[in-house]
Amino acid sequence: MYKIIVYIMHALPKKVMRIITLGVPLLFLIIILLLPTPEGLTRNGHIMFGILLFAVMIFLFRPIPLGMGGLLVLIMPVILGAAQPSAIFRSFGNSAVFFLIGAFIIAGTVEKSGIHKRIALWFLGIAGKNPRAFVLTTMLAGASLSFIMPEHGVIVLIIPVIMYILVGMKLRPRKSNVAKSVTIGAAYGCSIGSLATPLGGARNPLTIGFLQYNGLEVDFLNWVLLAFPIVILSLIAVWLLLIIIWPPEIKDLSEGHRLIEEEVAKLPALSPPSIRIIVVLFLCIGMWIFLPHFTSLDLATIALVSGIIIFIAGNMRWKEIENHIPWGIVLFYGGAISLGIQLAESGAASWLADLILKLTTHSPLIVIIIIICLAKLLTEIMSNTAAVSILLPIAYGIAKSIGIPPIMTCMLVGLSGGLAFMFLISTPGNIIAYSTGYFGQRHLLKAGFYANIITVVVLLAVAFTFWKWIGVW
Amino acid sequence: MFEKILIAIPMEEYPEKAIVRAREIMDKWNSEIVIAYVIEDNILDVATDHSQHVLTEKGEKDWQNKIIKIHKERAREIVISDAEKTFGKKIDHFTVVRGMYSDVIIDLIKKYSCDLILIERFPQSFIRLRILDSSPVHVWVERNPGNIKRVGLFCTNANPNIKAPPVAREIAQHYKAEFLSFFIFDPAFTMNRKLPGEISRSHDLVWEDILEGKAEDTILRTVKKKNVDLIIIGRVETYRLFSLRHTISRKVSCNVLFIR
Repeated sequence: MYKIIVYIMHALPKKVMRIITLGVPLLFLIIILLLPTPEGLTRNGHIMFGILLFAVMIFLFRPIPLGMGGLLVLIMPVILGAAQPSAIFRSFGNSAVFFLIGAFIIAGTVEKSGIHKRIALWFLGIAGKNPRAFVLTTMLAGASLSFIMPEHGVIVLIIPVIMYILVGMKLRPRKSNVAKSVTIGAAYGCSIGSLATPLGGARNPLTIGFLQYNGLEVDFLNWVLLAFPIVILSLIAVWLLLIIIWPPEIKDLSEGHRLIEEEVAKLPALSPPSIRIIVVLFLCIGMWIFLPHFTSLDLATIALVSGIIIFIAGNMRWKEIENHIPWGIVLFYGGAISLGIQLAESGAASWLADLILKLTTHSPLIVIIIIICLAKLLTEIMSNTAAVSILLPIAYGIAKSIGIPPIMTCMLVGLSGGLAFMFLISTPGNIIAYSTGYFGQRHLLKAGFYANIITVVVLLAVAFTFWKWIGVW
Repeated sequence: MFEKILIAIPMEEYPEKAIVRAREIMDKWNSEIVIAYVIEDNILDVATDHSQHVLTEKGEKDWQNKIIKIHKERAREIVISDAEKTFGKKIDHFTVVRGMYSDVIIDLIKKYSCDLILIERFPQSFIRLRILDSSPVHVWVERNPGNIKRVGLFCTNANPNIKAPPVAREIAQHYKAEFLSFFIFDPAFTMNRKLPGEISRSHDLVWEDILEGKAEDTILRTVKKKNVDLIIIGRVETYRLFSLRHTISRKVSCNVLFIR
């Protein structure tokens, strides 16, 4: 059946597909709006519920670019009379949107300076000649760079470096277990690493922004404290998984190590602009960690201050900044956060949360497992920011209903949303790694299935032990 | 027959079995070999499509250029050297092209005047099988390496298959294989009961069996029953959602040659 659908989708002209994938969600929305308002739900909540389903389908089928989808979802409550324009545009101007802009400027600067290549090669080099260690260091290279820049940017930067080494080692596409583990490991490393700091992916500031809107503060250090154990444990567990399912076929990576050393030797000495960027980067991280405790500066302000310092210091020209900010994600992100806020304010989120609880149970453990699995399911089939934006208000409502701290359920949604492993469409990182040709879809499916199980266990273990120990709940 | 064979290597699979078969065909028919490494647009497009909201246009272009450059390098460093080892000689024509797999093949057939396309059937590669619909020359779908001991010609009432019988006979002779020919009456088409006799007379064929039933199912059943190693089917128009060509190449466990 899947093959038939894919075949038809490939066979139909793009315009026809766009009409179908835009028309079907619209039809669904109209049908939902024509149905009587369910008991316990306001009319505005009813409309927002319809818009939520419309958004799910739009984010899933992508008839229009996600940025346009974000704008469409933003204005629909106004068009359908569920919210005032001033309220909608106020929610779009959330501080987390500006954090994202600052983060993209910082990421662009890192890319321009070539620091990413130094970090990646340094990690790859420490593996020595051991193929198992090489898989781990590839994951670490992706993960560590994702601490300071968005994961999708990282995978794009490190995949050519990794591919150059794999080609140099004459590893055969599809046949080499090392190449499979390394390329899949790079994608997974970036995804897992992106959880560690708010800089790793748009869904992180989205979660912070949503919590902030509801009066719950999560600063840079809090985020790192909550996420870091999950990152470390997941990296180790997924690395073990990869080397177990694909044991390296070669014992000695001398050739790869030689190529890495050659590449390191080719790197020019650190230039004064690169040193300035490193200083600004450390300064920025320092400010994120300390300033919110002593001043009223928040993450977004510090990110923008850092971006402006980078610009004034002459590390980036305006044209380069423009080239490094994907405005689509900023628009999409604004629409997504506005959707979350409107769902909460209209009462649709709490109604949905109650509905889920009625259908399941009030046990915190079971509810949290359901939330994690829902987040993972959605993030596997749609943009992870979209999945998180849809689930945050529901997770918040569920936490309120069963009396557990909303920070716990919302953080779990935010973190699970970044762990998409199984499909090519799950995250750009997966398909970018796939384009190297070293692994097939079935390999990703196999590794991703087990990686999902492993990371669900890790999330639950950390949430119910470490988070309890540090007083989250 | 088979003067120039085209093997199009997709970027995600190395068609080892197809290359081994090409070597065998080359030895038997003294064919020239054309190898093309295809950097597939659909894979790059999907990657671009899914990263468009997180990458700028410049970021996408930079990334695509880097990936294409490394793929070209890999084609030259690994793919061609592996193929040359199998052929035991320098490849006559080698090229790296970018585009949709089936479109690229059509262009290459015109450019190099090839008369056979050799592809390998991979589990996930059904989209590439579109070449079966658009190819102007014969397509050999390699599935099962090894010696060809039984060649099965399948004719149906959907199409007279005037080119298939002589090709099938020649291949069977070259392989010193047993030649089996079957006629299938598919109820979906006009049941001209005289057709088997006409084909038999004009091509001097003796039908092993004249069967009746849905063509796909009947072919699959017969191939299994008679242990056929190579199926030869003439041109059959698409008449269901998946054409006979698609169904056979997806489901059958032996090799298939589609005659055009």
